Amino acid sequence: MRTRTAALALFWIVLLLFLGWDWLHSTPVNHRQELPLIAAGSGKAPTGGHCSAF
Amino acid sequence: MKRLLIAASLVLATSSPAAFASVPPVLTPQELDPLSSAPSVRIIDIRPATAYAENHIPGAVSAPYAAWRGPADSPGKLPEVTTLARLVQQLGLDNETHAVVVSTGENATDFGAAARVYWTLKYLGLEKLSVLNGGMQSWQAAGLPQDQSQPQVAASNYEPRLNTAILATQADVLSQIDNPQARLVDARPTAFFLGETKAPTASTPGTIRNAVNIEHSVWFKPGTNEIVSTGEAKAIAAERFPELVDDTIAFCNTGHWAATDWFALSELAGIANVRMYPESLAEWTNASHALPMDNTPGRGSQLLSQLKGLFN
Amino acid sequence: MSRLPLSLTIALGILALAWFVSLRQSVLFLVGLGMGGILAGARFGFTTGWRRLIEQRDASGVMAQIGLLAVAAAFSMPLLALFPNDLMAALGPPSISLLVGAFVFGAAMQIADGCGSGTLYKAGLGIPLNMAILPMFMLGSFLGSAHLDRWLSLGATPPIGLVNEVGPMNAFGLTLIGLAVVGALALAWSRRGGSGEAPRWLDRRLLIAGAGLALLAVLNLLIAGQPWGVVYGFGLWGAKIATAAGVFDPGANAFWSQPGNWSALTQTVFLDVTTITNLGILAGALWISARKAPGSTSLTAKQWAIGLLAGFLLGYSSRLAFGCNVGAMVSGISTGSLHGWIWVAMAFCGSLIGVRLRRHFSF
Repeated sequence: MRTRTAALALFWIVLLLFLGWDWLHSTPVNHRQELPLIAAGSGKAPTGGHCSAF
Repeated sequence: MKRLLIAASLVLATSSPAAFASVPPVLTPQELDPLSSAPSVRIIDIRPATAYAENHIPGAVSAPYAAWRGPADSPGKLPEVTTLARLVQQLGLDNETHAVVVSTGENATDFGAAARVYWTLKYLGLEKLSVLNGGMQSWQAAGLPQDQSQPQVAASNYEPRLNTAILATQADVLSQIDNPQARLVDARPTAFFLGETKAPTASTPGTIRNAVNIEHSVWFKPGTNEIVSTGEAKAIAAERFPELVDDTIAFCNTGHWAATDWFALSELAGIANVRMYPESLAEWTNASHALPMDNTPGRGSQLLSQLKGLFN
Repeated sequence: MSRLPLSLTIALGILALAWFVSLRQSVLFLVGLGMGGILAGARFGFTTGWRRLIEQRDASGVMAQIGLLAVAAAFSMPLLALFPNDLMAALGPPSISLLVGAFVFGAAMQIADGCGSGTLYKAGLGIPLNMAILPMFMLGSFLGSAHLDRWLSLGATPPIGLVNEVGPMNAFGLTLIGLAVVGALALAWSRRGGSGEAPRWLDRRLLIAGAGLALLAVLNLLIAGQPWGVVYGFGLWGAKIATAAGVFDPGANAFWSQPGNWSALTQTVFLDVTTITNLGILAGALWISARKAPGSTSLTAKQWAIGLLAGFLLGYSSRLAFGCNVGAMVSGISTGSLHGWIWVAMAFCGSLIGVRLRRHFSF
C-alpha cells in the first residue's frame, strides 16, 4: 500500500515537473490570439495537432 | 477677371520647373476649377465606380479607393509596388503631372481616404500632389460643372522611387516605443484610444504602448467637411506638441484615419519627420507575439466578454 | 486519499487553465475529466472488452463499444457536414504503416492491459504497470512520428472520408450497417461452443458509460474542432524533451518541421488539445481512485520488462496506425474515416495473438 502511494506520488510529481518545465521554456501564451471557446461556428479552421496527422 | 488671374498664376506656379514641389497640398473647388482642364493636371476620383459613372469633375479619371488598399483582414497593407506602379502608369501620372485626389467629401472620415491615396502617391515618389478640400460635396455645393465623359489618358512609364521616409514598419514602431525623442500618434476617436471599443480587424481593444491621441477630427472646421488651413493646422500642432521630436509616427486601425493625422502634421503644419504605419493596429494586434500596448482590457474582462459572446 | 483536497486542486487547475492559457483549453480539460471519470468509474476497458470476447465469449464490452461508436457517429457526422470549415474529421491514410501499426497495437495492448484510453485511466487509477508505461508510450509515439515519413513511403493512399464522399446521412447509414455486421459477428463468436447458457452481451453499466463517452467525444469535436485523440500529445511531449536534450532536430524531420507540429513544439503543451484531454483523463481517473482504489497484482521482473516493451510498442505502433483505439477506432469510425475500420480489423487480429502472448507470459 505504501509503495503504491509512493509510486503514485512519484508519477504525479514527475508529471507536474514536466508540465512546469514546459511552461517555463515555451513561448508565452498570446491571449490576443486566443481561440474562441467553441470551434463549431467560429469560422476558424482547426490548426491543432491530431493523431491522423501525416 | 480676378478668377482668370488666380487661375493663370496657379497654372504658372504649378508648371514652372522652379515650382517643382510647390503645389498646395489642399485645393478649394474654386481653385481647382480653372486647373481642371490643364493637360498636366490629373484629377483622380477615388469614389466607387458607380458614383464616378453618374457624374464627375470634367477630365477626372476613376481609381476607386479599394485599388489602393490591402486585403479584407488587413486593409491597411499596401498592395505590391508593381501593382501600384501599374495603376499610377494607367492614370498617366509622372513627376510632371499634378495629381489632385478627389473623394466624396461627406465627412472627416472620408477625407482620410483622400489623404491615404495622397500618402500612397507620395510614397511612390510623386511630389506634385493635392487633395480637393470638401471633395465632390463641396464641388457640387459650389455649383461647379460635372460630366460623364471618360477621358482618354495616355499611360505614363513612371517608375516608382519609394519615399521610405514617410513609412513606418512594425519593426520601426516597435523600436520607437521607448524613445523619448519619438511620438506615436493614435489618430482614432478617443473611445478607441482608451480601449473602450475596437475595430473588427483588431484582435483586442487598446492602443500602442506610449502612444498619444490626436483624433483625426480635430483637423476639421467644426460642423463642416473641410480641413483646416495651413495656419490653423500649425496652431493646433503647436498646442498639441509644444516640443519638437525626431520622429512622429501616425497610426490607427487600418491606416485610414492615420493618413489624416499624417497629412495635417506633415503637409499642413509642416512638421518634419512624420511617418505613417500603414497596416496599423490590424497588424499590430494580430502579430504572433503580443506586442506592447496600452489600455487593453485585463484578462478577467477578456474572459467575461468571451463568455458573454456565447450568448449572442 | 481524501477527495476534498483533490477536488479543490482539480478545480484550481481548471481556473488556472482558463486564466493563464485559454477558456477553450479549460473546458476541454473538463471534458477530459468526464472521460476519465467514466472510463475509471465504469472500468470501461476497450482492451478488456476484446479479451473477454476472445477468451470468455462475453460480448458485453464489444457491444458497448459498438453502441459508443453508433452514438458518436450519429452526432459527429451531421456536425461535420454542418461546419465543414470549422470541424475536421480524423482522416488517416490507408497504408502499410496502418496495417502493421494496428496489428502490433492490438497485440501489445493485450499484454500491457491497456490501449490508449486504457493506459491513461489505469495510470490515473494508480496501477503501477500502466503508470510506468506512460513514459514508454511517450518514447514510442515520438519515435514513431519521427520515422513516419519512411513508413509512409512503403505505400499509402489518400484518406477516404465518408462524410465528404457520400454525405452525412449515407455515411451514417453505412457506418450503422458496418457496426451491425460487427455486432452480429461478435454475437456469433460468443455463441460458439454453446454451453446452453445464454452468453452475456448486454451490460447496462457499460452501455451507459459508452454513450456518455460518445457524447464527450462529440463535445471534444465541437469545442476543439477536431476529434478526440490520445497519441499526438505523447509524441509532442517526447519531441519537446528530445529537442531540449539536444538529441533531435525537429527542423530536419519531415513530421515535426510541418507548420502545425512546429508551432506545437514552441508553444506550451497546455495549448495542445490531446495533451489537455489526456491530463483530464488522468485527473478524472485519479479522482475516482480516491474512493475506488483498484486492486494490485504484483508482477515478476520479467513481466515488468515485457510490459514496458509492450508499452513502447503501443506508442510506436499507434503513431504508425494514425491513432490508437481512441484516435483511429472511435474518432476514425465516428467521423467516417475508412482507416478506422481497417484499424479495427487489423487490431482485432493482433489481439487474438496478444491474448495468447498474455497467457504465455502468465499475466
